[in-house]
Amino acid sequence: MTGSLVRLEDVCVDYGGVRALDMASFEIRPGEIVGVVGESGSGKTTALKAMMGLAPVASGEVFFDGEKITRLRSAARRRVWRDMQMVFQDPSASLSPHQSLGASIAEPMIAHGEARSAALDRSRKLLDLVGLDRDMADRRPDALSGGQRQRVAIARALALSPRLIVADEPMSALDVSVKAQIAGLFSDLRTRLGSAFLIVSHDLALISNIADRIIVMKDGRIVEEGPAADVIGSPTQPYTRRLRAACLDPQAVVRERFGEAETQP
Amino acid sequence: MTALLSLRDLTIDAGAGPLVHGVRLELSPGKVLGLVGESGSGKSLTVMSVPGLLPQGCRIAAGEILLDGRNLADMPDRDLGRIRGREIGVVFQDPFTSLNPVRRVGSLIEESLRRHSGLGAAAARRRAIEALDQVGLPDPEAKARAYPHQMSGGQRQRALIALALANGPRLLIADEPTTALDATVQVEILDVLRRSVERVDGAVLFVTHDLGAAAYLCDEIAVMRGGKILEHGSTRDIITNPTHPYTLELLACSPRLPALRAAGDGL
Repeated sequence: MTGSLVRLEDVCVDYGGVRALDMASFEIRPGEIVGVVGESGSGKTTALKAMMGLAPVASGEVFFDGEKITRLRSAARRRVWRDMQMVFQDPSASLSPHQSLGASIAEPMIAHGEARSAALDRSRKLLDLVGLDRDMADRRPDALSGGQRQRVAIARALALSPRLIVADEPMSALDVSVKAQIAGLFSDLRTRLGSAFLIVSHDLALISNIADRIIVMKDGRIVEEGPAADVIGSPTQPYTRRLRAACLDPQAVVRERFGEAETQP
Repeated sequence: MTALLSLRDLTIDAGAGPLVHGVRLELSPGKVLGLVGESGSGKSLTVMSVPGLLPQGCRIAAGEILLDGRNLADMPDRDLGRIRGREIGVVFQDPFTSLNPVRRVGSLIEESLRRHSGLGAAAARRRAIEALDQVGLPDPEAKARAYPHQMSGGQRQRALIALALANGPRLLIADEPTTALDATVQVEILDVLRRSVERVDGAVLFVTHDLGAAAYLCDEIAVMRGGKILEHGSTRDIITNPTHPYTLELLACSPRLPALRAAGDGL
């Protein structure tokens, strides 16, 4: 098949004799936002790790841009990682408290041979791109809010202009109002940069707002996959419907508990 | 109707100025009140001051906490300890840290029953199993013999609710009890809380950052930010006709899924 940026074919991962990922097949096309949704133990993070070469793949293959990358090591793996950058749940983990934000963002560029001054200059532009003030380059991470930290972590992930950003629960440690802002940032970055995003989340509602396609996982398997509007609007699997029902939209909940009445638009 | 719990101008201080400013709240018997806010809003401090469980360094600087007319705010800790456990049950966010990891779940509940309700060993054992059964744990006899690490997150939270409710408290304080849980498990636990309240006819103070969870469980909602209550009303009013801009903001970023399409609709 052509046109896919990343493709997993029947990938299985075992941890200590337990099958954590069972015959997972999916693809990510260039410029697409794919959401992987599931609860704890569903295998969503394992699928992400298998894709990144960070989990022991027992069988199956992972392709990046048509190239088989399932078992790449050292230099070849690092070359692929340049194009697949990660964002984690806890943004503090990827920022050194002893470094200025500009230096943190510039680090991967310098490691890949960019001149220091050019890298620091680009880190200011990246701060701007993720909605922060350029002057924050000179600050250290300690005074930042959770949402600001996650923006910096995203700027750092963007430093090498990757073709895919892989984000593992990037919104789940954040306050309610900040979650939506970070989700909006992913959507905005896709439009402006044309990068693809794979976002792993337990939050179906949040993902449904930004993803083109949604993959639903349970017990190590993909149970449903398709365009976001279809998976959300007309789920075929009972588990997807249960996940839907577990999203507590306050207004829908109140309508259900107290009847329709004079709900404002 | 006389309030079971009244917070009167409650102010909590941690040295560098108040973290909770002059909070006034009334909770009637049988009611579930949701305290909703984001991190730093003061919602947890407000409710944890009631059973005297403020974190180190925080203290009640002013105001009264009246439980049935008795002021808990100036009660010696020894007396408060008797009320806690018997009249007030507490459920925390992470049951793993609040259930002793080296104690069997049943023995924790039995100990609480013997201490607070004066039950004998056999009666306490029977009542502990009954309590585990009432929160919907399958095979409660086996669960009573289990250690916390042998249970799933949802099961541990059920066990903690059983422990908090064992002595039939009149007030249950639940601080983000479903935040660490998967979404489908969260709804199950909210259902357990709702049924428990109906059964014991106690009042509940439910702390959450999740307006949807509060809408699902509570009769009334108070929205907090910056240590103050911005708005307080019936769940229906707060969700359908909020008056404070911050409540509107919270509502705007609550999960919203498009409606289910009827079969055969669309593409």
